[in-house]
Amino acid sequence: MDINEIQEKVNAFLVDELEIDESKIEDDARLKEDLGIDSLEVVDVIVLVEQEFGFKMSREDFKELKTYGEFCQFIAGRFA
Amino acid sequence: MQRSLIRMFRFLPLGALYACMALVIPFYMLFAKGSKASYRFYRMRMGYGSVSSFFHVYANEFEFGKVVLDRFAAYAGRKFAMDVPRMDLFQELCAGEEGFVQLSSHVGNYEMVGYSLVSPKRINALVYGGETATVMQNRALLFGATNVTMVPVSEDLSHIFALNNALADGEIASVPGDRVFGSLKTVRSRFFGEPAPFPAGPFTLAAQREVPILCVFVMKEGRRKYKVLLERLPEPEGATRQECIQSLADAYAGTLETVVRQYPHQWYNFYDFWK
Repeated sequence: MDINEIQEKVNAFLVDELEIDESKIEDDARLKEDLGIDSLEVVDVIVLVEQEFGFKMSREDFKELKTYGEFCQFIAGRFA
Repeated sequence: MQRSLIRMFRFLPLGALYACMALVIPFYMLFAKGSKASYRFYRMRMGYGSVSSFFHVYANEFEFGKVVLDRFAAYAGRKFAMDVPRMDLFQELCAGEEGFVQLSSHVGNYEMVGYSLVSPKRINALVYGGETATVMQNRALLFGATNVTMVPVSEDLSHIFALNNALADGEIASVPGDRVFGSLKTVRSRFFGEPAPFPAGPFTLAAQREVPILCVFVMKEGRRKYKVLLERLPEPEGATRQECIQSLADAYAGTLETVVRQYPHQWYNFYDFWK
């Protein structure tokens, strides 16, 4: 799976499920401060990764990710 | 202090401790901030008269004192009779492969559930991280035998991962449905005639993982007797994520209101719940 496919899936989820304004989704958008993904949405994000990309994210994985770009790159890294 | 209290419970009769509590309550009522909120609850939500509400506050504080004493009595090894009329609901969910969310509330004495709902599935109970070591140790001791694991709320979000993994592995996630902590996000549902904020967390977790929610209320019915009320919330079909979360929260609020009306003195949210 390439980065464009990953971004497409992640964007669809962020907009449709978490109702995040699409214009805010940029590579350097911070997950918590800019996109409003707090502890509650973490559940949604880890379930998304599990269901759409087929692997489980750990707490340590998530802790390292600060921006939307890093998040997509992290997923891409699992398919490299 | 808590250790001494637990030791004391091994020797003193529970009735004597309740009697001491009954004498202390009026003084507590004078100074506790929660008494005002409690009074407003009986006056405005339950519709009792002004004098009557005052006595309901007393009964409410007294019941709360008793359930706290019961918890320590349980830590000291005292036994309580537990009646579970709809045990089939719990057994049915435990027999399935999928996990489920077990929703607790600040009514009755939920902690006593560890006595009665014993399951082959592990129960992962979300607890406030600031509890004292004595309470945590005694809980672990008491519930270790009944397959309950405590999951403290943590700033590093490890509790979210623990609960999510528990549900993914077909286990039970036990979370409070009427208290906002961890995430500040809420869902507003009609409760006693007016929209009230309920934590979005438990409903989001169930909706996202597509698992059922079982509400559990452990109500005190006598000095050493509890009744465990179980209610499975209807799972909305064909709903969007947001609709699903709202529908689950509405169903929970309705169930909670029914239980509180049935046991008005066992409602222990001593603050303005609707703010």
